[in-house]
Amino acid sequence: MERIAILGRGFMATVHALRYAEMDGVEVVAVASPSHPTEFADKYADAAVVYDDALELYDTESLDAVDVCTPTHTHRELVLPAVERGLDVLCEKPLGRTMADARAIADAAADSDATVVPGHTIRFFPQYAKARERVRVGDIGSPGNIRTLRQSPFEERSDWFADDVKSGGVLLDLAIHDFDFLRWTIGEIERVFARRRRWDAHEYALATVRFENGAVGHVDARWPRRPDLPFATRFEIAGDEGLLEFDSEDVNPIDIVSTTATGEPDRDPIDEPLVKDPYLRELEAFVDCVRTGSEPPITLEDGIETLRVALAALESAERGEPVAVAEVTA
Amino acid sequence: MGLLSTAHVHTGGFASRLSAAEGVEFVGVTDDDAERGREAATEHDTEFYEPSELVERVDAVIVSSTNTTHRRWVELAADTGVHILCEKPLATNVADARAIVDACDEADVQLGLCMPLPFSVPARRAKAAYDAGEIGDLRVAVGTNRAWLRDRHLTGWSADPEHAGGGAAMDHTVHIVNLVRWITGEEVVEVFAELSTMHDELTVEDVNVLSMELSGGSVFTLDGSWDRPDDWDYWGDATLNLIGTEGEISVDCFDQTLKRTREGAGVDGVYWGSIPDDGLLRDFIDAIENDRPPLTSGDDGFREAAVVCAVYESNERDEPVAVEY
Repeated sequence: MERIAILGRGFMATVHALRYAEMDGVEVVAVASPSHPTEFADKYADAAVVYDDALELYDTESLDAVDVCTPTHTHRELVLPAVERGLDVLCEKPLGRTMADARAIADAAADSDATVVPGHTIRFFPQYAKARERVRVGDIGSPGNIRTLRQSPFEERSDWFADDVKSGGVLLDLAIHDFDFLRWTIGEIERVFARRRRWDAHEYALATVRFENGAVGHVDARWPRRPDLPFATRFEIAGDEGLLEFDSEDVNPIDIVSTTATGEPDRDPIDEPLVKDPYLRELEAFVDCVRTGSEPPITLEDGIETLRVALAALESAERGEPVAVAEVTA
Repeated sequence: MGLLSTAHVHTGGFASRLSAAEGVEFVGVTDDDAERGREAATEHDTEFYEPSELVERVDAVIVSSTNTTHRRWVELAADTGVHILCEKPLATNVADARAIVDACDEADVQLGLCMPLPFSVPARRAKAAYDAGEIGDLRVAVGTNRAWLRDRHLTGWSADPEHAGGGAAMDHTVHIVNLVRWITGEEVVEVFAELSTMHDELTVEDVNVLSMELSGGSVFTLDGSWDRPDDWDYWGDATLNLIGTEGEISVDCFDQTLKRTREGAGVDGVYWGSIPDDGLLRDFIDAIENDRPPLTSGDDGFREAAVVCAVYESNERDEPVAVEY
């Protein structure tokens, strides 16, 4: 039985707790959040001991791994002591708020037997994985122009998302999924030029990217405070011999309209019509790595390099000029 | 497990699945066309055996033959005490379908049908919603299961009445009938068939439009035609719209696709959803191990074959006919 602690009590903590509960050989034995997440534990991890201090949790509980689902700016201070205690860590994306944060985590991991897996879930979404597979077998020839879109509307959310110092905004929190997909599928990104606009609580960012292999990309990330809009993802990958297209708005394999609907939100906020949804596959891969010591499905290096691209975008939006990814060290 | 005949267009898919499945040893294939069988064995890196030899070496088989020879293959397997997963339709006439079910009953072996749609995740969600009463009492069901005609030519026999026993009605009636029966528990009681042939080169029907009534009094139409042009972007579709007193359910089993354009090859879809055949094979293996009928049992196969026979009878008599079970 692998004993896991969840840090945080927000959206990702909920999604992860629900999936650990349906997995064999795993138990969420503790949860920690400064707000003392009793209600969260009662609802999603009823065997868990509740802490408001992660360090106290680490020192009290016998653990195999820690799942860090807290705000971005807290990752470093929570991951370091876990790694120093030899605990494997799944760390939600982004790995850290700054390159210094990411380097500190990498240095600690290098001095320890612990494995740190950055939670880039996109790699477990079959539509993205299938597109990557088709690109790699040559369906579209050499990729030349790639567009992605990610729209994550909200009504209410925690204040830290809107605080650039804590979250890095839509580029660091949302666009980072697509930066990771692009690096994974097309190759390393040479430079980024990004523009952002924020008004009221909305935030939109548009980034152009140039890859080392000469391909060009366009990343469109949207945080509308418009709960009437859908969560949506899109991509187009054009090459010299073909094109792959995906639009989540075109995918509707099951639709139910009923007068018996209660209007209450589902207990599980993620609803992918798949035998195993991407988050479950991500956690299974992580637990397998904890259990067997196998190579992690996503390396720390990937988490660091993807963060570097997102930080380059953020810096570009601030400076109003293109930023070379390799130059981002802060 | 082994494959009895390699004639069917699904042979490659099941051969790969048998090779990959946990707890399954893919022993080999046989065929009454030894050359075709040996080629398939080479292609899928397995052994070719004579029919009587293969059934002695396995616990279970998939009958992957032409439609009209299912009975012969099933009887060979049942007589040897081997469990059977049979391609659809179970048989091309009611007498053969009955004989197949009886042979398996007498031999006390499990008989299942290659019916993947109940393992489609969207379809499973539809059943869960239906069972929870979300659409109330069923009134109307509308299904489609169209296909490329071009795929029928891959095997060399799928549009040949001698081997296929018919055309689109024989091929593409049972999947959605199976899905409706599984989700709703209703039986087809009456069928009126509009069959037609629009492609000049065919001697069988390629248009298969059916109007049915279900046991609970609902109406049910199904379009199972081979009418998709060669340049359509997918092999076909499998959709079902169920309308009841409290709402409706729409299922599109293969809507999880990427749109792919390739120079010189046009546009097509690349499926990325969960693969129903994986669940089908797991269910069959679990059924054998736990001595229970597979999800789509021989009796289900018999009933669905009976609907197909009623389709042809309606077409012949030019009037609605009651389905005889």
